[in-house]
Amino acid sequence: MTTHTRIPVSLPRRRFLKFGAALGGVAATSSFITVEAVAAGRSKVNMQLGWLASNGIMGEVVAKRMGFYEEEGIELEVTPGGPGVDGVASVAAGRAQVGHLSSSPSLMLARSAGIPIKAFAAGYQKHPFTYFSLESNPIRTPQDMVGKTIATQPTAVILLRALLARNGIAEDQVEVVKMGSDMNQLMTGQAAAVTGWMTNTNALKVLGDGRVDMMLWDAGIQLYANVYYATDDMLANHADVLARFLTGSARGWGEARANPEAGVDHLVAEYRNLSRESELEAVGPVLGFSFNDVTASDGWAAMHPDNWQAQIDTYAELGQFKGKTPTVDDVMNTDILTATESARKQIG
Amino acid sequence: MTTASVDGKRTGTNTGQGGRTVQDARSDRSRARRYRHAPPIIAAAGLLLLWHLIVVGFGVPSYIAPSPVQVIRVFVEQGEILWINFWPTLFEAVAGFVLGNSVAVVLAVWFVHNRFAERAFYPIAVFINTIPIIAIAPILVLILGNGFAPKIVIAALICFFPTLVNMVRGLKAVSPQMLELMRVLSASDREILWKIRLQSSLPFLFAALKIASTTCVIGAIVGEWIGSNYGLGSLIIEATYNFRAPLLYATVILGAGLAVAFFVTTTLVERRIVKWKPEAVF
Repeated sequence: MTTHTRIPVSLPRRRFLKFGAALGGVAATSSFITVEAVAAGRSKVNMQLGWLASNGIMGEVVAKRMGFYEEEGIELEVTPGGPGVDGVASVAAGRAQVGHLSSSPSLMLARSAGIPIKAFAAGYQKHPFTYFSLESNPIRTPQDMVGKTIATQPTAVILLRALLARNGIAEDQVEVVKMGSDMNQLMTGQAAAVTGWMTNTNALKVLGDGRVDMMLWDAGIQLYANVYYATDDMLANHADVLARFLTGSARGWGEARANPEAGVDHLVAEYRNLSRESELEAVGPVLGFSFNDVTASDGWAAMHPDNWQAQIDTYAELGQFKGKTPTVDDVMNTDILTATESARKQIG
Repeated sequence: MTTASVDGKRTGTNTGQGGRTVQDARSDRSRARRYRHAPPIIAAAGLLLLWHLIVVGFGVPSYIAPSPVQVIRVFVEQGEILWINFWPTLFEAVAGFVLGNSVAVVLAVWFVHNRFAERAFYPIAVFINTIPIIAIAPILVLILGNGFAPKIVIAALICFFPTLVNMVRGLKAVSPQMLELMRVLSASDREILWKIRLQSSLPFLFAALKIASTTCVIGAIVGEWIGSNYGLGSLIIEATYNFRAPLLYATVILGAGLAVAFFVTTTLVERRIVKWKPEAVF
């Protein structure tokens, strides 16, 4: 944990005192969170991802490379996660100021386990998690799953259980098997459906043209994806930093939406391991999940307490909370969304 | 092998012209040397061919197993991606190798001179060795951040244990008579260490370094799985989850090549340093 703070000599006294007071306040609440001031009025934000750097942060990459964060006084650093690293610990410990989680349930479960984090924005309005089957044995509705074998990732078994419960299907009517990152079980006929993200175009190419999609969202389990979160402390004491960050991100996503191909170019220039060709195919779905009728009225990254409540209820019914069942206010906070409303609505 | 062929020649062409026999034997030997690498090359080429035939013959889709031709094409067409990911891994592996082995050697010297330290810390070293890297990796990231540091520490942790065990063993592998002689000559512990113990430990050390030379690459790659933008490990994850199988295979081959290069370098260094026991340590 760095507490390294460089204070410019020319910093006016009043500001210095304010800064000192802020530091004192942070110390008084025995906080781990530090927002490093890199220069007068500029804050360093480390954004911890829950997965590898991918098209899910295209807007952030665009904003960073086009200087939008700089204009907001934010110096952004992106730290990737990966298999086994969802980044929650990093954010909770204060190493990162902003976290980015693939799916909202992880956040609710973390909250229930006593980790003081809250969502403050939702990148994807609709979760791209999808059940893929083949035309020869299609699964178009949850009822089509009855009597079939479904392969899903170990962490997503709970989503399947939620889906079955929502649609009144007994769990013993569907055989659930675990899968890794490959889709071979579908191709070899071992399973009737496999799961994955609709935005992972490379993976979908493998399945060919005869693919049938059933989105988790459309089957009644409506989760948010690419959730932005921070600690309670960060939200309470550094809301301005988060607001400036989100404004920068909003402008980046707006730019990516206006000019998708340039957005992809920024993305692959920053992360050279990504393939430009597949990202060009993915950018359509990525923007489709980021912008819809909700963002048209409420602005980019909007999220609604009702939706969070529904998610909490689903997980509570399935007995997923080992600790206490969180309330909506425990898992989300709309202050940052409110503070950035005008910037976000411009690009909704 | 050479002796056998010399004998064969001698019985076969025993015409009394001794000069010719020697010449023949010499050319035999040089031919043997020239074809020394033939068996592994033929075996590797044969396996590659078999791999290609199976993939093509059975129509295996490339996302399950790409053909060697597709993998080679990755080296040509996406060579740049491989290179930019190669350097971070090389750096982490070398730094981890140096760090892990240095700590192990220093600890071994301490253990040999201090029985209390050995009894106190050896079990802890064993314990540390049993912790799965995947379990401590996230903690290392929390403590050390996300730069090169945690990857180097993971590579070092993997190198550390074999070297420690071998080095302790090597430093102790001194004949009692030799120690007695040094005592009679009133040599200090330091003199015994520099003149006797280190010499006797070198073959053991190099045996450990050879293990470490390949595992440090694995350590660096595993370290990169826990969150990095570049490095062979991060490319493996990227390629796996995006179904870029030819790229995955090419990355694995590059990683293996790096490990082999380290191994060969260690062996060459050993040959230069440990001259008195050239064969016994292989």
